[in-house]
Amino acid sequence: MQILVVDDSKAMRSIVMRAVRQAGYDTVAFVEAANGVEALKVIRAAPPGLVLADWNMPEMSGIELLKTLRAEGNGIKVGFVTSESDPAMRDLAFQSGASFMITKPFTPDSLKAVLGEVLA
Amino acid sequence: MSGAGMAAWLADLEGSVAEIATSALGLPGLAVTTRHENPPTLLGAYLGLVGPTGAVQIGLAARPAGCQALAKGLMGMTPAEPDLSEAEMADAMCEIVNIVAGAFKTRLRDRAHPLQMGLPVFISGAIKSTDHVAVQVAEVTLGDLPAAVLLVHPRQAEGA
Repeated sequence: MQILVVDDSKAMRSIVMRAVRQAGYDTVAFVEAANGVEALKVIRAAPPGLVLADWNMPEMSGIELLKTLRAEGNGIKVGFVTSESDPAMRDLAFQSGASFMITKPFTPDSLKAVLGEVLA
Repeated sequence: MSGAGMAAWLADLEGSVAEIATSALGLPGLAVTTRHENPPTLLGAYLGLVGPTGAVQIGLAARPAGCQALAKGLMGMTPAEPDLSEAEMADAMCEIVNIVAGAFKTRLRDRAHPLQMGLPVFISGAIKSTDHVAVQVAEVTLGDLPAAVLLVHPRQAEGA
């Protein structure tokens, strides 16, 4: 399976990918994007099995990415990995079709818990 | 927001940095050495937060070796590993401040101060106070690492 990791921080993309492997998904292949615009290009060209997206990013935020995908009829699984934990933002994420929202800093175990539900 | 209010916000910011130091950087915690209003000449990452009554910037700054140590902590690297490039270090410092901002925002939301986060920037040098902008500085140690926690806020808010 392929996972698209979307974050404007290269450091955080590395951390997320390492945490996914540490969560037991060590055969997953990763694709990276630095914002929603780049992510849309990747998804339209070759849809991954899951998108792990930051919320606050330049050019196109994570929630804008999700809304754009759903407006196009794309039901790809999208989970947010973000420093945001605002209940209103969480509600917006789920109303917009997010599979989960996990707050930074996270542990491989907390990531494993949400991935287990989404990838089951 | 009064000057005393900004002191409370700085305490919340210190608490947020302490929380992230232990949970994300592998550091034992934070101790405040001194608080003042003279921004130090350091490397630092800053992030703006906008609320209904105005905007503030939060910052975490250190000497280059300190920034390397903090960045390596975020990346799960040991101090003995080769230094990150300047771009990698800046990126990691910005991410640290981004995570701190999330914790800070949560603390303030609990006291009815909703804020929206901006994007972080990395700056080399001192943030300057002006007639309109004040800077609150907490000099801290994160483990044995000296650093500064900064809160930049509008002066008109002091008497509001």
